[in-house]
Amino acid sequence: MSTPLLSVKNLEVIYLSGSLKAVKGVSFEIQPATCLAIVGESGSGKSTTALAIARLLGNSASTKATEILFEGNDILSASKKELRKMRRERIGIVFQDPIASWNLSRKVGTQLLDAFDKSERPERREKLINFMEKVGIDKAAQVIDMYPYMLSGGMMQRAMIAGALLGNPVLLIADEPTSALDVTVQADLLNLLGELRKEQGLAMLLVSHNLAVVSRIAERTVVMYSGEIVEEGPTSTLINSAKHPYTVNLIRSMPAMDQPRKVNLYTNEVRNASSQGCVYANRCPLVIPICNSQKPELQLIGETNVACHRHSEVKKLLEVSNGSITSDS
Amino acid sequence: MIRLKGKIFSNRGQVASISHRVSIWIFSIFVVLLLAVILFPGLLAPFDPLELDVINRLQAPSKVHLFGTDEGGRDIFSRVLYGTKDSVGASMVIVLMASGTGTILGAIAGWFGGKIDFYLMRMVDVFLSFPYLVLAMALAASLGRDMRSAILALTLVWWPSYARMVRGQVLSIKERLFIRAARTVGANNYQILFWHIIPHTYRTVGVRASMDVGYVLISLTGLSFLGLGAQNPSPEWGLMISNARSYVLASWWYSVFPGLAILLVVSLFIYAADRFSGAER
Amino acid sequence: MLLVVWASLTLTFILSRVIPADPARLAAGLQAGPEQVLEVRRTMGLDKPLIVQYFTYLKDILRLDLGDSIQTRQPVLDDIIRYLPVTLELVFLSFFIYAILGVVFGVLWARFPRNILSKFLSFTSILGVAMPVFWVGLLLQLIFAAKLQWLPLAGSLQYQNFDITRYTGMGILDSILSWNSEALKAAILAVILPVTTLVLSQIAIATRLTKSTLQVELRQHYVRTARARGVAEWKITIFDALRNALNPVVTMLGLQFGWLFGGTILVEVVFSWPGLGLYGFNAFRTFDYNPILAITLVVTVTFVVVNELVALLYPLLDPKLRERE
Repeated sequence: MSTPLLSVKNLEVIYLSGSLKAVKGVSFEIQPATCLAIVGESGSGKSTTALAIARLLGNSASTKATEILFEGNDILSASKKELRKMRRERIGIVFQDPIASWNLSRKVGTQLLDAFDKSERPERREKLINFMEKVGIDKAAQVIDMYPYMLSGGMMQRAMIAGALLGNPVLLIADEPTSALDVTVQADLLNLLGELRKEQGLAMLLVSHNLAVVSRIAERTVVMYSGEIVEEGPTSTLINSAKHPYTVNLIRSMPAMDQPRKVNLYTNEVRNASSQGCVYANRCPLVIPICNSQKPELQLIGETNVACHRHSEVKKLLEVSNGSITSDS
Repeated sequence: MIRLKGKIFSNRGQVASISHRVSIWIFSIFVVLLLAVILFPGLLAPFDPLELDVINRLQAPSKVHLFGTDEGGRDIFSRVLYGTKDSVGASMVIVLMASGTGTILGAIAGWFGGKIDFYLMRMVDVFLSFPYLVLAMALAASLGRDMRSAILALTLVWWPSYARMVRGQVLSIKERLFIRAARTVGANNYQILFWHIIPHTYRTVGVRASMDVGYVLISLTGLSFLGLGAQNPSPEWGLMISNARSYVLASWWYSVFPGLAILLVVSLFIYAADRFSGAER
Repeated sequence: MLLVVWASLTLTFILSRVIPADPARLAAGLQAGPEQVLEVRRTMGLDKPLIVQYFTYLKDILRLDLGDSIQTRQPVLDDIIRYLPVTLELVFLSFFIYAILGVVFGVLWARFPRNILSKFLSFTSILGVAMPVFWVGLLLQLIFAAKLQWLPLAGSLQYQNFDITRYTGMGILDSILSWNSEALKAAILAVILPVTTLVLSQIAIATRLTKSTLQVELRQHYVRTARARGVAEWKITIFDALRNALNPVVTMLGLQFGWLFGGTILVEVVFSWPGLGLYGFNAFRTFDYNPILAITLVVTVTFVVVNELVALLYPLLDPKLRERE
């Protein structure tokens, strides 16, 4: 196993206003040029995790971990200058809501080139035009001088992706890049991301609530619930033979599938889990007493890591309707 | 409800509403205290505010005269207390009248729209850009230099901002469902206006009014300072400061204490308004 | 906007004619006999019907004939030309100082909320708004002029004491233009207390507003995006956030300029500063109406003009508005 590009161990994020542990004990690795997806529902902590890695959570949250190593460098102890350099040239970030993520009063080009030295600007600008064309923006040279409110949502995201690539990053963090867009644009952008990955040899951290989206480009997937990892492994294995009840639930609720939902998806309310038992205990259809008293550890079963006391029985117990679902890739 | 994606957490929400409640209580207590001093200054004041005692004129603060004495030997502490009615009491009256008329006129403008709205708003524009001192001076000249004309002048100056604010609110509430509901039940225009719409503006108007008591107090004392409002021997705070000017070099207490009184009361009202409007968001 | 100016003029006219005191009698002097008062009344046009008086009034204004001042026995227009710059000296200096300081402090406060400066600002900002300007002036006089004797108690630059020409009426400017450093020093000393008073009384508003609008902007997502791109924090604060936050601040500053103009009267009274405010105040006390009418005109027009200028600034700040121009 080569050295991972990004190694996260025991990430813990606490929001200071409510002593709410948004993320607890999360660990994973990303190998160079591979894509890892983090999947979960709203409130699971997936976005928080992605942002925490780049230390973008600001003063309202405290980010702690045993280690967060990126290219061998400790992110947690990096100086402001080093951090800026990392964000500018090694990591590219694409955010979820295109409209809110742009400053509407400044031109597209100015914003994207802001981080670079004045001396570098001309050549970076050329590069930016190239990237913008590559991501599918027509007349990129004109778009660069436009204001964001003149563009459509899809264009804004494309421009954001082009901007993220400007520094020649090795890791692209995409926080639900397509959630705010409509379906046709989604497909396009996903294909785009996949292609870019292959071309540039980019590693990617993709956050999404939609397994269908994820199954198309991620080699490995992490499933999060209420701030913790419940299952983790190669995407196809995860989808074909999920071992955690929650994962099964997610799969079954994937909208693109033609099978009707058999198990209800619960409300988006996420209750602060007790520290004692399993995070999923209060919503799990398979819950037994031990689930409430003892927290299941992540164990390697076959190719995936699962945190569930009844993982061996899950497949049998939840096989109410037809069996597993094949993924597209 | 705790949403991780958003930035607001229920804990913060709850904390805010507890301290919000506490603030309302503290503020109310202060207002009650102020009203008490306005209505019954004799309870706290050791001396008669108008009683001359020329032998003891311009004495520095002491145990007997907490704030010292003025050029007539009158106890400044007592005068400050009695002056609360003239300064703060008058300010409250002004704000009540201004917010009252402003709210009603603004609501009418917003609700009926059309020509009424247009002309009313032009009037608002004029009053808002009219220098209030000139207005005060002119009124003082025609009605006489006393509190009456000062109060009238300031009321005329302050009502427009309420009108504008309330009009805006009415415009946005106008189309809401419950108003339509009231309409279908058969309530006529006036009923809707008074029973449903105006009560909705209470909170924003209230916050604004609280703040304005402070600002009006400053303007009012300013007018008295110039000789336009209260007249001697009234213990109005601005007037006292104006009288103090002749003695400022030797008798610092004369100008300092009334000023501190103004500062204290205005800070109170503005701070309160701050807290209430902040907690709303 | 012209409508507003016209309405103000009309209002002032109404007010002046409603005054019970007889201007003719005052103009003629208290010793004058009845025939003389009548004569004066005729010259002043006060025997004509009100409507005619009104139109004469408007016509005169358009011709810039603002009448004469009973007090100074000079055309009001001349008086205004003489006293306006003196007031403007205070207004411009105060405005620029407190606008710049106010915004700077507001930015620092929003950016570093736990700083000691910020704690200081949050405590004093309410005080700043709550202190009556005339009291502040008085206190400053007390401390710096009376007790410490560092600065002059009152009055502006005394031109007769120095070898300078009165080009503009603004002490500092004239000293510079006359190339006289002694005069310049005196002019600056004279201006310090009044300007400080004005600045202290207004700065809290600008600081608080800047801080609150900037705070809101700093919480927006685009700030996070800029950070994610590796842009330096100070750059984000100024070029991204502040740009968006300035809109309401600029509006407020525009309004404040208007109030400042009307509010210098208090400072001029406290410091015996011979500007428009003091002139108007004296006019009022002697029931001299022409100056009051004229000053109303000047103040209202300034207010309107400033607001129009401010409106012109908006498209500069917000590109979305440019399209519609």
